[in-house]
Amino acid sequence: MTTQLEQKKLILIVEDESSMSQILKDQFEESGFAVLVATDGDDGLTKALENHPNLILLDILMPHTNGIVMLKNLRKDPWGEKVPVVVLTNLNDINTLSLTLKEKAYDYLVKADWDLDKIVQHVKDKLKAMEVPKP
Amino acid sequence: MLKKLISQVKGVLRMNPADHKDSVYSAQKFLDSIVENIPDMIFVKDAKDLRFVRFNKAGEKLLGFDRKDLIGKSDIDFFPPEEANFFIKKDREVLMSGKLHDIPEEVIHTKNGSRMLHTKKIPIFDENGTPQYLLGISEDITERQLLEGRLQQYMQDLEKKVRERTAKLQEEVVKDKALIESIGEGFIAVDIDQKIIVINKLAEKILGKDGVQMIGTDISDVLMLENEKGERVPFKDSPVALTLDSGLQNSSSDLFYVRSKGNRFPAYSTASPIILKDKIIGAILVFRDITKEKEIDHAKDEFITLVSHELRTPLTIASWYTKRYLTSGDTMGIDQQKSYLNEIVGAVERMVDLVNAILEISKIELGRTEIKLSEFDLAIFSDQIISELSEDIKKKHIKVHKIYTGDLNKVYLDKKVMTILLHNLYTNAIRYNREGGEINISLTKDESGISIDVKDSGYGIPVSEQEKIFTKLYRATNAREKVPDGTGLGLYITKQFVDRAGGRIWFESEEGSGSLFHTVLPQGSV
Repeated sequence: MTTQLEQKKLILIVEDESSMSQILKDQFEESGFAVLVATDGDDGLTKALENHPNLILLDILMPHTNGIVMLKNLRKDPWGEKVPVVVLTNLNDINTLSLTLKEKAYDYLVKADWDLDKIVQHVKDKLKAMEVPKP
Repeated sequence: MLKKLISQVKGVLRMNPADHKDSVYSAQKFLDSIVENIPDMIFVKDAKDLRFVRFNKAGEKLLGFDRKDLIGKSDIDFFPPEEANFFIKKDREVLMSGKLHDIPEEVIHTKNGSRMLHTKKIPIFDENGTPQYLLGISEDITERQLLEGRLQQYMQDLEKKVRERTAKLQEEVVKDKALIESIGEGFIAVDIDQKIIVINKLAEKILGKDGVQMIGTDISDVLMLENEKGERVPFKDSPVALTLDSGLQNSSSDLFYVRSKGNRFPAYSTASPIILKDKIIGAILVFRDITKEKEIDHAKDEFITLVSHELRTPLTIASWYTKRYLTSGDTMGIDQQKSYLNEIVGAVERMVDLVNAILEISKIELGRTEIKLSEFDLAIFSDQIISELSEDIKKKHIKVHKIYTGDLNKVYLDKKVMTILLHNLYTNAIRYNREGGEINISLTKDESGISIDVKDSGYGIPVSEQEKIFTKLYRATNAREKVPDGTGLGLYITKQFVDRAGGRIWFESEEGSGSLFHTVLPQGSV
């Protein structure tokens, strides 16, 4: 089990809609990722800091603590400051985009515009790009 | 001239005729020619019986008689008796007083009609001081008086016209002022040098400054402008400056006016040129505070953003599940296939609910909701709605208790309002109830109307969120958590309809122990 986790990249999905998180989990697991699911911002921050996933897929509109607040708190942590965050939301407005950009989340995907396989491919490309050693 | 003549006459009269025959003759001739050529009527009467002894040319012309017809006659022979007696009386007075009499205006009737004369009558005395003659000098002032009269009339007319025109101008000034004051927007007029010439009360109020002090000052000293970010906008970029520069109308809705106290407001401003004989002589600025409009715009934008989000969510779910089912369905077990199809159906139903709710809202907001009253049995009506929801009730093992009180078989209400109200209240009581919970429904009809109480034993509404519960798209955090697929529109729509039907809806709730929704509706009369 441990060796498997070491080989597989861990993705943390922070998403309050169970229908959404379930199918994302199915798709990512099928594509060879290990997946953790959190249902709101508080849960997401706890799971992120405990498990140090390779990448976080973050929804914005969630009960209790929304994605923006979680992102702000995450960036205060020395590890969390650098973890790649891909925002995955159906909120398509410029204010939210600028707020997430300010918190160094440079990928903003509108769910309705992205198919599952494209999302997985985007995450793969992003992780690959990060592996390239800096000259 | 007259004095000189009199003294000359007196001199001649005092002379001895034997000694000065020649000089008397030449003096007589000189005197005659002077008297003849004086343009006023000259007449001399003897003091004894007031008969004419002398008459000049101007006198003949004025009276219309030859002098030979006049000499030796008296006033009685020429004038109507009353007039003649008046003249004689005057003549006697002059002779008695021994002094010059000035009669500024006297009327005489001549052959050529009546004339107005200015007459001076002078007694002429002999060496002993006895009056010998009466000298009369009459100036015909008829024409002059006529002219003077006309002039006076003309002056009076002119004065009247001036008075009328002034009154009219004043009225117009008052009207213009009233007009400017009654414009429901701030109004400032400036001349070509940007100096304020007119400002209305509303502009003073909006700007928070005294208008009298602003007259004559440069408008750029009064209007401080900022953009949305709070940066100062130079006056040359303001509508007024652009209009004065170009002569064209300029409008702006993204400028903020800074008040004297330091607070600011968004304004819609329009500047129009004042053009006189093809030349720009100034500009008019009309502006209004659009804080409210901006707030409404913002609320609309926010609503659209949230509705788009709410619509995209079920669409995304349906799309993702369908596509994954199409690509991987073959390898799925029957249970997973079913669960996928259920997700799709759930998403589609959620979409239908949402679209219906949005259509309902747009009807409410466009004012297209009419209240149509009809008579029906509220108990049967309520039971029907409960039976439509029976599957959900069964699934959650919920017990429903009903208390129907009063004459419910004949109520006079709007069926649509009742459907929305009962459906929303019952659905919420099921949805946000705990497994195996209870619902108490109480319908009562009495004099005050229809009361509907729906109590559940569910999650309740957190106190901090209770005031927002009827707000469009608002969902309590615990509700979102427990039941992700609500629209956040049900209670908003319900309240809108209840309000329109003249009713009232409110609630009591405690987090963890459920909610009680009260509704009171007035009974329509049959």
